[in-house]
Amino acid sequence: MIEFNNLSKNFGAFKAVDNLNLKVSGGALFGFLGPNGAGKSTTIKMLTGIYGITEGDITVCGISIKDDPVKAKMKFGYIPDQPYLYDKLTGIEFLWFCGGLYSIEKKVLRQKTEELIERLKLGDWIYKRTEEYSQGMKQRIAIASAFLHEPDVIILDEPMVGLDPQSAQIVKKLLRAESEGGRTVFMSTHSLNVVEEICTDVGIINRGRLIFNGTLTELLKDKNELQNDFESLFIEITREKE
Amino acid sequence: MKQTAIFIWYKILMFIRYDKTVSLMNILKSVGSFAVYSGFAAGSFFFSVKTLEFLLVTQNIGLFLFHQFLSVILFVFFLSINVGNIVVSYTTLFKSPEAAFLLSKPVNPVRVFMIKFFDNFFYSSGTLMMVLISFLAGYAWYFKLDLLTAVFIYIFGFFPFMLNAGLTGVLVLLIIINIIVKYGIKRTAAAVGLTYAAALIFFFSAASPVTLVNEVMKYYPDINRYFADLIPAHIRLLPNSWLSDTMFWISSGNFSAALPYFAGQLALTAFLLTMVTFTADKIYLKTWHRTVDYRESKPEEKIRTGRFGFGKGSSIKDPLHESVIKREFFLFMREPVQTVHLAVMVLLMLIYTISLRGLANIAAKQVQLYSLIFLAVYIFNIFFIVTLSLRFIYPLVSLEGKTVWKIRSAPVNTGSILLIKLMFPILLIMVISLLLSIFSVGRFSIDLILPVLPVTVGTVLLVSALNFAIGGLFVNLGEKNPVRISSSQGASISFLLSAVIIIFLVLLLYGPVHGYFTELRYAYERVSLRLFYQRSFVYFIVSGVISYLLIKAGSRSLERDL
Repeated sequence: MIEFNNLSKNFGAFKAVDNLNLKVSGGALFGFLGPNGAGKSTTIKMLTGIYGITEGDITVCGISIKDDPVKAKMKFGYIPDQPYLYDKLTGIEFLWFCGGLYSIEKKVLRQKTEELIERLKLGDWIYKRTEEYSQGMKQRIAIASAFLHEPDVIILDEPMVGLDPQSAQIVKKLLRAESEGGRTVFMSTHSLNVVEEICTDVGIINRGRLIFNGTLTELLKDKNELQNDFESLFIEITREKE
Repeated sequence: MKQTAIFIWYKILMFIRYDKTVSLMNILKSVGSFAVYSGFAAGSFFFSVKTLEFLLVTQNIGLFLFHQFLSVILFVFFLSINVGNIVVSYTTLFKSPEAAFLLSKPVNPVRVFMIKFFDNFFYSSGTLMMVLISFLAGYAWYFKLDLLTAVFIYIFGFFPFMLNAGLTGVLVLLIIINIIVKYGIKRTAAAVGLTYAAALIFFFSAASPVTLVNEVMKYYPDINRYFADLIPAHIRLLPNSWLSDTMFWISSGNFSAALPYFAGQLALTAFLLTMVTFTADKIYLKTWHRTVDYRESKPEEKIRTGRFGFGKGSSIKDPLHESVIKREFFLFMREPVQTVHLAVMVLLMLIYTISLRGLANIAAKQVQLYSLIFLAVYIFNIFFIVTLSLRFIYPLVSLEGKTVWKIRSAPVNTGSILLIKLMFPILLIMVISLLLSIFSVGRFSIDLILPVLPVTVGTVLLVSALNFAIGGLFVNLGEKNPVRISSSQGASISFLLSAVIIIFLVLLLYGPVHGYFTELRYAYERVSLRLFYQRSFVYFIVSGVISYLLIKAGSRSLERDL
């Protein structure tokens, strides 16, 4: 579903991402972990077309983001760490606007928004201007907008930041259900608990290099062998590469 | 096409949605804004009618000279819109979160570019468009043009003219950014600054008003005809010349002679639109990526603050004053949008001061006209003060932005912090304005420098206080871009109120200036400046008191509202 082939990103002399090779298969809920400045957000920004690629390529459902960015972007929905919403629009208007960007038919769009309002428990907030929303509500609207066109892939950059427990639970439930339904989820996060709770596959990046890639079961096996908790294991893995 | 329609629909929806909270303050703001806009529109209308009457009837300068002066003003307009678009578009096209949001969607980058360009163009040129409509209405009234003709001139003359300035701006921006990435910001900024300065100097030396007035006056009284031969061919190829020629022929009653100029303007718009679309299609996304790379890859130099650093000892004894002054200084100096814009404005002022050479010689023997030229030059100085204040003082409160919590939660008086903040830009504007006044007034008469200085000082204080107070009233803590804050609705109101101060100054100074030049011209034994001194000191005192009250009221309301 998503393939990173010899992907590198340089900012001048600094190598933010160094020869990343990674395949995320269909239906996986992939947790992309790493300390601050490891290259997680840079990778996601290249994947979504916001950053250019220095070397290599990324394909989403076989479409290169470098060669055919508009077509590739049709295949995914993206939720950034700080979602951009138009303050003066209501939640529902924002969803309709986004639906328009993906050329979704009115009838389908109406059905889909109703379904997402229900699933993300947006309630009457959907008819208020987004400038009145809390961080959690903004995040839920951004998530709803990413699912509107039923993309094959969902990309999330730190989705749990600033969420209250109720919002976090709603988001986790949704992501797990979507992944079980066959949709690929690529999520960067700092929250090790979230990875342990919902992810099926894990990648750990440090200083731009992928230092672990496997299933959650494999990672947990390492944890048990080292008789560590998940947090200590993560610190251990990222430290030994320093 | 469907995507574009969706963008336009939602942009209009967002534009018409103002603050929905119904409060007495919001109602007052709306009513006040309406009153200021209406008053200014009416004022501009009468001002343009009276100016036309004065120049064409009292002074009898003739249709041709009038439209050539108009051409010079339009040239300055063109460059202002052009440079303004370069500065603002950089932030809206290459640093805006909305552009990043749209680029992550399946939207063609060229569409993102054009939507952001037009959004920005209408947002930042709104007030200018309104001012032009009012002036055009006065023009149409004076020349007894019907409504349809006036609308035609606006839609097919003025609007494409402004659009051409904006389109040239973004085209230059796309080129500049790619040069910056290759050769660095300092060398590129110097090259661009020099190019613009050269263009200005070239224009003013080729289209010298002094030479033109002398040449046209040789044909007196037959001065209403079209003296095309007196204008250099390359100057006649500029869009400002096309627009002024369009108006010349329409005011002469020869609409068909104006048509080729309309066609030229529109053809240029079509050409520039095609060029911008084509260029953006080819390089906007690449340029966006390059901009990101350039921003992220700047070497992480250790910032040296020398003896002025926060940790160093300071001659400012009060720690609160020291912290705020140093913060303001560092934030200003480390924000390229602020420093580059200030540099551009100072450069424009330098060019303006240089271009005054010879202006004082025009009509030296006609006291009334000479007085008016003097006033026009001095009022242009005041206009610079207004522009500087609007650009650097109006956004001060809004720029506290998301860090306002730190001040609000600190055991200090918010108002007093904002006052300290205000000191730095006021001092900067004061120095620039005084220098400008000394050099420009000195071109006419050394004796006038001293009586003019209290007026300059009073105006700096008054206009700064006005911008501070209105900037606080229309505070927008969510906007980080100072240029966009300076183009907002509140800023337009502040600008229009400053224009009222300008008109008041013309009325205040005309008498003493005219009296002084009359006595000077007829070689009276003792030239008196008493009236000038009296008026300038009264103005200084009154403006000082009003400034104090405005700042006090502004800081009190901010303490309450922030």
